[in-house]
Amino acid sequence: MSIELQNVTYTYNAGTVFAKTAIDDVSLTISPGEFVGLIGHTGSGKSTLIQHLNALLTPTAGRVLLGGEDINADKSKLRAVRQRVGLVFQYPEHQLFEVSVYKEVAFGLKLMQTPHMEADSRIRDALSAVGLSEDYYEKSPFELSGGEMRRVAIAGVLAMNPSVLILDEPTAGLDPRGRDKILSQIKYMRELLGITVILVSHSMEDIAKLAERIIVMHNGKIALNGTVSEVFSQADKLAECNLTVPQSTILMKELAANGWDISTDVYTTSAARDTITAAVKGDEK
Amino acid sequence: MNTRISFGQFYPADSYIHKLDPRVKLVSVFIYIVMIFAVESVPSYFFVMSCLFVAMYASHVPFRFVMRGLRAIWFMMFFTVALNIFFTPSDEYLVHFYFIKISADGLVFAAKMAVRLFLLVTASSLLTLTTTPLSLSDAIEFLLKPLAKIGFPAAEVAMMMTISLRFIPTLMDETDKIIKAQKARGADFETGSIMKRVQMLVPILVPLFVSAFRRAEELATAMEARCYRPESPRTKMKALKFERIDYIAVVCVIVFIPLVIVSRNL
Repeated sequence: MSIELQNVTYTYNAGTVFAKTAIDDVSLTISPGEFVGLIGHTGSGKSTLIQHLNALLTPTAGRVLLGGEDINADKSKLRAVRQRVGLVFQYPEHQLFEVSVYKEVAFGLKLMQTPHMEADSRIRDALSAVGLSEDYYEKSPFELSGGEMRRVAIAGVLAMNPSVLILDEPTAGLDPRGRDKILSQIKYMRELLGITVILVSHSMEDIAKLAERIIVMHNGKIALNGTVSEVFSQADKLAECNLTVPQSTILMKELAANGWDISTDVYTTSAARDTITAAVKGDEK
Repeated sequence: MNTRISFGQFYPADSYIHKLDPRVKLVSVFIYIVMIFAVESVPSYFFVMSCLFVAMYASHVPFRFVMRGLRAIWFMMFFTVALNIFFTPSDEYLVHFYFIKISADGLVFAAKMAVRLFLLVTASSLLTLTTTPLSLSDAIEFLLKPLAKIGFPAAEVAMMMTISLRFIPTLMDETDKIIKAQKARGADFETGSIMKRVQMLVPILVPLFVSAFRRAEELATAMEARCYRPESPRTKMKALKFERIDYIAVVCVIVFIPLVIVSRNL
């Protein structure tokens, strides 16, 4: 399902002395099945932006279209919108409250009055998509590790069968292993379900590894919008937004500056490894 | 995201009232409220009211912000007025219709009560509008100090107050986030029967309590790590100090008291 933002502006505390415009005249289209990475410095408006996509915030000006329909036009359909656009907040483990993992994931389905059989299969699918086996079903979510809790929370959103999944900093505060696990799980889920994924992250490495398109936010506006290589080749512009290119790109540039005949169009660790290996082998010949 | 600054009532502005020492403001409002119950005659009402309006004007706080405080007590005000109109005993009734008895005394008394309530709430909201919660708790700490002599834990109580005030905006942010997160999972807090809505409190309150306890524990650890000991005396980063303007305010209050007492019998 395509998402379209038309000149969306959002002002917090509009009309008071505390008024602050968080996003300013943003227009954007996201096609079905895309994997979009959303990056930006703290306070650049990315969290505000994603909350518009499932109508948690109503734009001060402008429209948000989901599959061509204005999502804020009919307030009684909000729940259907939120079912189609799943949003996983930062630190989603902080929103857990149920007595068991199974019930936690069932929360949304129960509210939607999904028939029992269907709900059960969706819960199982969601939990297996995030890599949690049946051993976890009856455990209390509060006795799990941070990474596991987070995966339970993601499963809770996945169980709603969204066609768009938005993840806000899904790896924040996790150790490297938990981080890799979540990221590979996201990649796997996307291939499995074929849904649109919007990933908000501080980590250029994560974005470079997963996303196809990158949107850079700066001061409430879209500063850059393009493919991974289009965006990461503009290091100067990224620096203006207080962002950097991935570590591996910095390394490749450093090597090129030192006389290596090497491509700097490299954004992930594995690509860097391959390029360097190839260059070294070429030299030996 | 921005509830942090708009928390409570504090309205930032650059005015004499804002600059006053919080202790002066707190004690003045206390005296003012006591004096509201001493006023009797119509001139004295006008005098007390005009004093408040002068303070309001000097505070640079827009009138509608001050009036916001009244919204909370609308119902109570209505109730008080109604009770006083209908149940003030008198010899003569203007309207006597079965059990409905309205007297002139009742009407006057109800009007007086309404004005008193209005002044009471407006004066206290003016205090909270012009004083940050933290400086207010500093003032309370200072005023509680004498009680420490009889074993009252004044510093601890003040610390507790400061901490709870400090965490109100944090927890408000947290609540807002949890509500949004649960909405994103399909929760609906706006519609449904009362029973359903009460049930919907669980997904908000459980995560909120969990996070409040987690924060409390983290804060306790952090305080201990910085060697906080409640029984040892502490210095202040912003010591309260009397300025010229504070002395002026004190004189105003001292003049205010006899004026009210004189005018009540006019």
